[in-house]
Amino acid sequence: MAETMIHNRSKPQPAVMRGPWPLLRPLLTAITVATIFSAEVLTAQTTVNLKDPDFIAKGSALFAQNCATGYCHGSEGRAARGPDLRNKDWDSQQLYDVIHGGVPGTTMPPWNNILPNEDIWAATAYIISLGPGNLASATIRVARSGKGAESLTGEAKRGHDLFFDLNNQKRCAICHRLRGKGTAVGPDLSSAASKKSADELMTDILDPGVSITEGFDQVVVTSTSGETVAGVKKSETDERIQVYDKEAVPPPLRTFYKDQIDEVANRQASSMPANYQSIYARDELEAIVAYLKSGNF
Amino acid sequence: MNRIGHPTTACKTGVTSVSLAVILCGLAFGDEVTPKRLNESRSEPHNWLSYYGSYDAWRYSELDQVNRGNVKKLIPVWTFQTGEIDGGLQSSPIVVDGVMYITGAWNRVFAIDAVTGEELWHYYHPRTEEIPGLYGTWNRGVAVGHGLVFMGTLDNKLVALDAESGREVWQVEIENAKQCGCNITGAPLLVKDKIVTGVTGGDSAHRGYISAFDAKTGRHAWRFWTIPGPGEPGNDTWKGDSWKFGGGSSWITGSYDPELDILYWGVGNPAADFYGESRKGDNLYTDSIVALDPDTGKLIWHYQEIPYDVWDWDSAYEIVLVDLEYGGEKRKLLVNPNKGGFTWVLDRTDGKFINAWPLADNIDWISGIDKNGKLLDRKEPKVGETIKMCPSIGGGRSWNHGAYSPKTGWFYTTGIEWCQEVLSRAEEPREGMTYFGGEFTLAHTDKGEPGGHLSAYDPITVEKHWRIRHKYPLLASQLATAGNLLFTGDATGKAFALDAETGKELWSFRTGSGIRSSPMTYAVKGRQYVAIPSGWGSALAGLITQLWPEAEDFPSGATLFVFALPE
Repeated sequence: MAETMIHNRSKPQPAVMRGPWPLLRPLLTAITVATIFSAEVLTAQTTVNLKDPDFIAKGSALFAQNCATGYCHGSEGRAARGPDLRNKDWDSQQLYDVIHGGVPGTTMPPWNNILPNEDIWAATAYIISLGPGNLASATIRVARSGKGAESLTGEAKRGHDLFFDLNNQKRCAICHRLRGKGTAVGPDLSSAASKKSADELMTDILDPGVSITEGFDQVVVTSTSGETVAGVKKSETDERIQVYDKEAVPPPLRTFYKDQIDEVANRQASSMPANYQSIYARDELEAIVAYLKSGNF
Repeated sequence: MNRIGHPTTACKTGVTSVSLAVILCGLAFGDEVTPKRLNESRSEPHNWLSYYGSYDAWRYSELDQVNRGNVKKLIPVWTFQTGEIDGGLQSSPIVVDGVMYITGAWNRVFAIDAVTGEELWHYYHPRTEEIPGLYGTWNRGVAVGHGLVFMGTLDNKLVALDAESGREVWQVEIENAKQCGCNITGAPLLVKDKIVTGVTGGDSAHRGYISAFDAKTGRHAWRFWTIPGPGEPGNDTWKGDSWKFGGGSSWITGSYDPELDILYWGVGNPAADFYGESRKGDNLYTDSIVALDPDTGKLIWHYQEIPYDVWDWDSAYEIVLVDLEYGGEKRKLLVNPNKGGFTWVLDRTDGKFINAWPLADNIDWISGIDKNGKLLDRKEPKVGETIKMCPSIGGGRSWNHGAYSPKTGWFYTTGIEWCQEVLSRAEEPREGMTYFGGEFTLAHTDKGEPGGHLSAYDPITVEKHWRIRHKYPLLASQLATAGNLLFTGDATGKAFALDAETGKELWSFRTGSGIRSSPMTYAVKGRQYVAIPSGWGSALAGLITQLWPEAEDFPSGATLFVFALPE
């Protein structure tokens, strides 16, 4: 329903009030509250005024950089691929919730991952200012949010940047995920990082076969056509097996249906390439370990 | 989520094997599409084997059963709905021996009996929570070959499906879409044993590339970075670290010359789009045509059409390969319409500049292009000052492809008359986030009314043989046929056929939603069909509401219409 309202251009809806929002609102609010108390670090509260010209100006700048850009909502909300935002009578909390949580199933992303709550309120204030601006209450108490990884410094920061460096086609994040970032081919390192010492982590990187995380043994599939693919098993159902092919980076996910399989074997071996000492310099590996040990993902 | 073909839907036999069921229904899949067949695709005009119909990107068919004399009798024979109208329908179907492959928005792929319209199988790629919203939900098509169907995805993966069953064979994540702010909306191109794909991300803080994978296994073959890294030639055309986030997308499918064994791909704009101070320099290889060795991805030559682009122009559009007389001898040339409103013609053996000519009347970001290809009198956006310039960011033409007919020797392409007010703003890059460096608002034209047109040009003499005008920008691709016809459609949902020699309208059909796709034609058992996907949507479909407010009410859709002459 939300998707229809935002994207169906055949019949523009005047405002959120006329949509299915009474039903969605408790859900979105629940998401908002859950987000504040889990993923983000609650640091303090502040009060904002949606009619404050300075706050609206701040929202205007944020809107220009993040929302108007390119082909989304257009300059001053004039419409592009997203709907025209001007001259609409918004409910401030509902509008905030939509920006904060996004519209699932559409290309409107949740901005809570990107902007602090206060900034989302500023953008809300700005969009409201594009319309008649009838507000029941202009004063809002805002939970300030902060993010873990942004506070990294020194070696840990350098390690983070190396771990996720898009210019390195063999970076760690191609196969490892940390608290929702990166790709989960190999084990999620969030818990391993806290359980293991720095030396153990370094050994894991340099000699992946020494200790293999449970569930990450190598699977070797031989197909009826004679092809052999070895790597990490992603899933198995009655119909098919999916294996990340260890021979390439990024590892392709191969699907074999049962009628295509000759044999499936397990091997006590790691699928991680054992050449990371040639991909990263020693001091770079130390920085990556420092990042993992920082616990600040 | 990933629903594999339903044999019972295909033919209601209740048989469990999809391919067996299909055979029982009387339709056998044809021979595998091989590299040889793709190289010689013009020898099988009943098929449309790759995105543009052929590697040279002509969008031309030798079929002439439907022609100027009988086109007015054309009637719809079947329709197909993809069920996803968000983003409209931008796809170009592919047809192989009576089986059509078409994509819809949100990475839906369908195999359809091209005679009856009956679905043979479908594949719906799982929706992920975080796709880069900036580049839409649409998809422009698949590549077919080696028994597989290939599609790029909104979460920046390349997926290979079994052509007969729709079962997934492999998928590979090219780069994490959430981190890079990039993904794939264009059709991949199969060249020999490799599947090549571009990437979006030109308006994000992202470093672009073109990628190739082994077609059968999905294993990485090569990556050509569209922005050279430190130590590589051309890195010095970027100031400081700006190369890391300089855009350079490759969002539209390239072309291939099997004889020269060269892959041609167009590279998009540098980021930030309107703010260039932090990336001062030529910014190679943005706004360039790159000629690559398809086996290795190594650069053979490049030609930069627009050094230091600060307008969000692109050189990403189709690259049409033609062999034509120039300077008294037959030359191997390429024709590349650019978003800035000029069409470049280059020697495709070495990238030497031949000429450049305008395809819109309202162009003032430069005063012209000299005989050496140099841009004259650049008018650049300014920080803190709103400047009017033409065309608008939507382009002197949109991505929808032109067509080349060897019968007339003319290149058929649309053009758009519109302008914009641009404000440049200093901006720091944030990895994977939008990186525009300013804002724009559409504005009226200085010369004539804003709107769209479709024209027939001699690409060498630049003579304009005819032009038809439309109230709204024309955002559908052209299809040229040996029947001396040109098929396309408009924003109001009218599909139409023109006389390719005169531009006179000979046939039309109301599809009910605007046309934003690439029409194509094929034949099965001696009967010619014309397929026109209908469904209004896309960034520009939304953007035009700034000049034509009524366009906000234009209904979206996602329906494929297939026409033929009465039996």
